[in-house]
Amino acid sequence: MNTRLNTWSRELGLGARFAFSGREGWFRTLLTAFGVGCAVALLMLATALPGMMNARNTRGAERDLMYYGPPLAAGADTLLVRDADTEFHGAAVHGELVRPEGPHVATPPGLSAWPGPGTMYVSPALRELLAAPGGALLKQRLPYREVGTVGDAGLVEPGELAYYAGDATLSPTSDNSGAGAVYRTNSIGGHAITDGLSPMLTLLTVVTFLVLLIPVGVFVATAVRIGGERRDRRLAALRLVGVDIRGTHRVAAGEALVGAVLGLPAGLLVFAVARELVARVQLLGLSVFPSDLTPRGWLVGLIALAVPLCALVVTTVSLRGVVIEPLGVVRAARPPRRRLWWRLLLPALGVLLLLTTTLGDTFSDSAQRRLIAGVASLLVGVTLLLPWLMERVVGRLGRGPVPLQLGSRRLQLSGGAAARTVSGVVVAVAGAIAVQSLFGGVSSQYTTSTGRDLTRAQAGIEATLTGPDVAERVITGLRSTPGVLGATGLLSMYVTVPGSPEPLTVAVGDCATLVEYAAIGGCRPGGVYDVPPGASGVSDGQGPLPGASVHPGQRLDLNADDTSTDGRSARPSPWTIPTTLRTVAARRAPDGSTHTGVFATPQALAPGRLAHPQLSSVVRLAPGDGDAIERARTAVSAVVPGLQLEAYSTTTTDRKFANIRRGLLVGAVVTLLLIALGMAVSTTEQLRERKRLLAVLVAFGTKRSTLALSVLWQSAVPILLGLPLALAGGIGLGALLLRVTGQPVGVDWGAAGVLLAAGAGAVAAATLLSLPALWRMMRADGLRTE
Amino acid sequence: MSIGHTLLGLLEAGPSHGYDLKREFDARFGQDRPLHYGQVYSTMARLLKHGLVEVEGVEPGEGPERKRYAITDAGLTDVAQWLRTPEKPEPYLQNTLYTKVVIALLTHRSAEAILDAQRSEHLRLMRELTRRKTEGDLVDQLICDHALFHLEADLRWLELTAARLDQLRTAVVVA
Amino acid sequence: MTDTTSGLPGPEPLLSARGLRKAYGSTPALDGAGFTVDAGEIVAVMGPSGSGKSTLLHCLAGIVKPDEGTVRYAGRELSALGDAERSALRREEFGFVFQFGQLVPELTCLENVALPLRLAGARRRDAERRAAAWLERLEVTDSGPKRPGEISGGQGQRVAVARALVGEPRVVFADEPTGALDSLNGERVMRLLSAAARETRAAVVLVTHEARVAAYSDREIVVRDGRTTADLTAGAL
Repeated sequence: MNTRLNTWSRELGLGARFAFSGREGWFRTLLTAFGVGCAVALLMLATALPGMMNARNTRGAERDLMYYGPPLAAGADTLLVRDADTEFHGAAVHGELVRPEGPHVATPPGLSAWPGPGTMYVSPALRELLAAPGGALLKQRLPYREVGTVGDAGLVEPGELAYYAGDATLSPTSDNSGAGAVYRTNSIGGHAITDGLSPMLTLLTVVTFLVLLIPVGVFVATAVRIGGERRDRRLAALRLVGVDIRGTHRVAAGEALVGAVLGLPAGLLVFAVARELVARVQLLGLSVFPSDLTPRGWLVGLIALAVPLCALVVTTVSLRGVVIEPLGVVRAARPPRRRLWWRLLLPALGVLLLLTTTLGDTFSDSAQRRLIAGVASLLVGVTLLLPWLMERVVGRLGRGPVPLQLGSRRLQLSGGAAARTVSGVVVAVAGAIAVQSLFGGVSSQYTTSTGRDLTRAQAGIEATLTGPDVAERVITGLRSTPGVLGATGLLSMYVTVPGSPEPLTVAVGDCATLVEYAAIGGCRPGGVYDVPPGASGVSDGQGPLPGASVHPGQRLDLNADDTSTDGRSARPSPWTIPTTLRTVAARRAPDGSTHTGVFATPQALAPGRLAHPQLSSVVRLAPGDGDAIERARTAVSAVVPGLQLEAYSTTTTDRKFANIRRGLLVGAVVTLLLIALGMAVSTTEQLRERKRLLAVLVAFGTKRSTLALSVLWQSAVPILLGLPLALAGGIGLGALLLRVTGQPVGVDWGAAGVLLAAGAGAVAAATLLSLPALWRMMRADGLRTE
Repeated sequence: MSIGHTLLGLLEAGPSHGYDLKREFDARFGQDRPLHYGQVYSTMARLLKHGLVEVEGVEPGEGPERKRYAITDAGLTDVAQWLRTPEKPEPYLQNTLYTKVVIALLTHRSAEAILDAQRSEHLRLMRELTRRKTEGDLVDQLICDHALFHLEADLRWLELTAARLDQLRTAVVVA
Repeated sequence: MTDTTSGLPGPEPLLSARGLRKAYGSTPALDGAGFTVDAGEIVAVMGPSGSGKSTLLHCLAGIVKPDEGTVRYAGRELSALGDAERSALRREEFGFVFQFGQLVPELTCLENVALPLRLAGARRRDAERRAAAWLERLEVTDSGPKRPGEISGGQGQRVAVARALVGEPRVVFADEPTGALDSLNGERVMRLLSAAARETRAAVVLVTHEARVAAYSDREIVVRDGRTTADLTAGAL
C-alpha cells in the first residue's frame, strides 16, 4: 500500500515536472491555468452575486424616508422631505431636500446629522464629480455648501451620486404626489424588504452564469489537451522504460493537475482584483462595494475541489481512446462510426426537464435544480451532436477543390478534436442566443416605444405642479437657457362636463405651444380652439379619440373636480366657452401624445385659473450641444427641485436590463475570443507537427493561399456546421426558458446575428492568428532532415 | 598491388637504402606478408634499368644494401600516373587502394582525388552491372547483385577512408 | 540533346548551376558548388552526410535561394524569378521524391498522386484517372484507396514516385528516395523510377549516398564540404 502510494506520487510528480518542460509545456500549463482561473473567478462571482444584490437592496431600504401611514402632525421627530432626484449626463443623482422639524429626528445610515439650511452632505462620487471641471453644470443645480460626506452605509454602491441638502423653505404641500411635493415623515430607514432575488432575476442570473461557464469549461478541456500528441509520445517513451498504462495516465493527470491547481490561485487573484476594481470602475453603470461581493466559504471550498477534479476527468477521458505502447501511440485508425441515438439522450433530457419546470411567484429549490440541470444538459447535449453531424457532412466534402479536400480530409481523420474545440464556440453562441431571447422576452415589458418625435423636440417635462406661476417660471427659465431653442408650456386639467361620461381636457398655452397639439392655422392670442373627440386628425390606428363634446357658449365649472385640499368641493370657478370657438383637428404632439378638448390661449383663459394643472412641456435643444440638456435641467431645478426633465429617446428600456444584456453580449464575445485563442494555439501546434509535410507541399509548388485556405476550411467547416446547430439550440433553449417564465416565445434576431457573426469571426481570428506560423512552417527549412 | 610503384612512392619522400626501403614497406604495408630482400633488390634493379631511380651514392662496405637510391623525374611521373589511374574494380582491392592512399599522403598528393577517381571507376562498372541486371533474367540479376554488393562494399570502405583522411594523414606522417 | 529554349550558341544544359553558396546561420552548406544536367539525363549527387547534397538539390529546384551563384533552368535564371513564379515552375515542370514523410496522411494514395495535377489546375476526375494509371505503372494499384498510414514504406515510396512523375515533369528531384527502405524495396523503387524517367525523358537529380542507387544514374557528381568535384567520369585518365 505504502509503495503504491509512493509510485503514485512519483508518477504524479513526474507529470508535474513535464508541465514545465519546454515551451509547449509552459504554454499549455499557463493556458490551462488561465482557463481554470477564469472558471474559478466566474464561479466565485456567481456564488457572491445573490449576497451582493441583497446587500444593495438592504441599504436601499435602510435609507428610505417615505412615509406610508395616516397624515402626521409636526413633532420632535418629524422631517419634511422633498425628493430632489435629478439626472446628470445619463447618471442618476439621488437627492433629498430635508428640514427636520424637531430635535429628535433619526438619521438614516451614512448620515451622522441632518444638514443645516443651505448645506449638504454628498457621496464621495458626487463630491468628486462636483469638483471636476465637468461637474460645473451640476454644481449650479445644487447650490448648497458641502459640509459632510454620506457614508458607505447610506449608499447603494460606491459610485452612487447622492446628496442630502437642508432647505429651510420646505413646508408640507397639500398634494404630496406631484413633482416638488413635500411630505412629512417620521419613518426613517429600517424598511423591510423582501429577502433574496426575484424569481426572474434568479433565473436570469443562473442561466447567464451557466451560459458563460460551460464554454469556459470547454475551453479548459481544450487547453488541457494542447500538446496532446507530443505528450503521448513522451508517455510512450515512459512506457519503454517500464511505466504501465495506468501509470502513464497518472503522469498525464499530474501534468494537467499542475495547470488546474495553478488556476485556483489565479482565479482567486482575478476575483480579488475584480472585486476591488468594481468599487472603482463603473461597469455597465454599476459599481459594487467589495464587501458586498463575498462568496460563501463552503462554496469556495467546493470550487477548489471540483475544478482540479474536472481537469483530471477531462485528461483521463481524452486518453481513453489512445493506447500508449512503448514504441509509440496507437490511435484507433478508423474510429467507430458515431451513433446518433445516445447523443440525443442528453438534449432530450434537457428539453424534458425544462418542459416540466414552471416559474411562478416563487422559485423553489427543486425547480431551480431542474432548471440548472435542464439548461446544462441541453447545452452540453448540443456539443455532443456536433461530432456526429461533422462525421456525416465531412465525409461528403472530399470532392471539392484542393484546399477544401485537404481541410476536410484532415477533419475526417481527427474531426473529434476539431469538433471539441468548436463545441466551445457552439455552446457559447447557443447559450448566449438563448439568454438574449429570454432577456428579449422579459424586457419587452420594460421596453416601450415612446412615440417621441425627436425631430420636433429632444426633451420634455410631464408633471403636476403646485403653486402659483410655477409653470410659467419653469417655461421662462427654460426659454432663457442657452442651448434651448424653444420650449412649449401647456397647462391642462380635466373638467367634468355634466351629462358626459368622459371628462373634458381644458388646456392653456401660447400659440407656439398650441400649434404643437392641434392643427391650428393662424393661431392668434385670444383664440380658443376645440379638438372634438372622434375628429381623428391623427392616423395612429387607435380609433376615435375619447373626450367630452362641447359647444360655444357652454358654461364649465373649472373647479368641479378640485377635491384635493380636504375632500370638500372648492368654490365654483365658472368659465364660458367663447363663441369664437374654432374646431380644429388634433395633432400628435412631439412627446407622442394626442389630446382632445378645449385649447385656449392665455389671453382667453388665464393659466392661474387652472387648479393643480398638469404641465406638459417639450423642449427643442441646439443640435450638437451636449450640455444644453444639463443647463435646461439646472434651470428647471432652480424653480422646482426634483422636477425631472426627461431626455427623449425613441424607446425607453429599463436601463439595468439593457446593461445586463449588453454585459452578457460582451461576455459571450470575450468567451468566443478566448476560444479563438485556444483554436489558434492548437492549429499552430498542429502545423508545427506537420512542418515537414508542409515543406514537401511547398516543394511541390503548392501556393500559400492553397495551404492557408485549407487551414481556414479546417476551422471553418466545423464552425459552419456548429453555428446552425448553435442557432437551433439557442432558439430552442430560449423558447423553453421563455415558456418556463410564461413569456411569449420570441427570438432576438439582432443578438443572434451579432453572436453568429462573432462565432464566425472567432474562426477567422483563429485562422489569422495561425497564419504567421504557417508562413514560418512553409520555409524550406522543414525539408532539412534532423 | 604494384611493389615497384610503392617503392618508388616511398623513395619520393627522400633517398633511401634498399634495406631501409624494405623496413618501411613492411612497417606500412607488409603486415601479413613482409618483403624478401630479393624482391626489393630485383625490383630496384628493374626500376634502375627503366631509369625511374638512380643510385645516389654507395656507402663504403660490401653488398648491394650499401646503395642509396633516389627517384628520377621519370620516376616521379610514373608514381603520379600510377596514383591517378583507378584500379580495375575487382573484389579485394583494399591493399592496393590503401597503399595508394598512404603513398599519396606521404608524397603530399591529394588522396581525395584517388578516392574520387576510384569511385568513378567503380560506378562505371556498377552501372554496367545494373544495366545487365535490369535487362537480364533472375540468374543474371543474382550474379550481378553479388558483384554489385562487393563493389559497393569497396566503395563504402573508400568513403570511410575518405572520411578519415585527416586522421590517417596524422598517423602516416608521424609513423 | 537539343536545346530549344535558349538562343545561345551551342547546347545549354537543361538545368545548370555555378558558384552556389548557401549558409544556414554561420554554417556554410554550399561553398561554391556547380552542377549541370541535360534533358533525360540521370545524375547522381553523392557525398557524405552533411556535405551539402540536399541543399544543392533545394537550390537547383528553386526551393531555396542561394546566397551567391546562379541556377539556370531552360534558359531562365531562377534567382530572377519571384516566389510565385518559382512555385509555378515547381508545380508544372518539376517533380519531387523525398526520403519519407511526404505523403499527406489524410488523403488516400490516389488523391496524393493526383495532388500535383490538381494543384496545377486539373479537374479532379481527370487528375485521378491519370493518377490511377501511374499507380498501376509503379505496381501499387492496390494502394490507391488506402491512406499512407495503411501501406508499407516501399509502397509509400512508389506512390511518391508516381506522384513525382504524374505531371510528366522535365526534372525529377529525388532526395534519398530509398533512404528508408531495405535493398529489395530500394532496388524496386529505383528500377521503376529510372525506367519511368527514361521513358518520359525526364531528367533526374538523384541525391544518394548509396553506390548501388547511384548506379542507376548516367553519371555522378560528388559534393564534399559544400563543393562539387569536377566531373570525373570523362577525365579519369
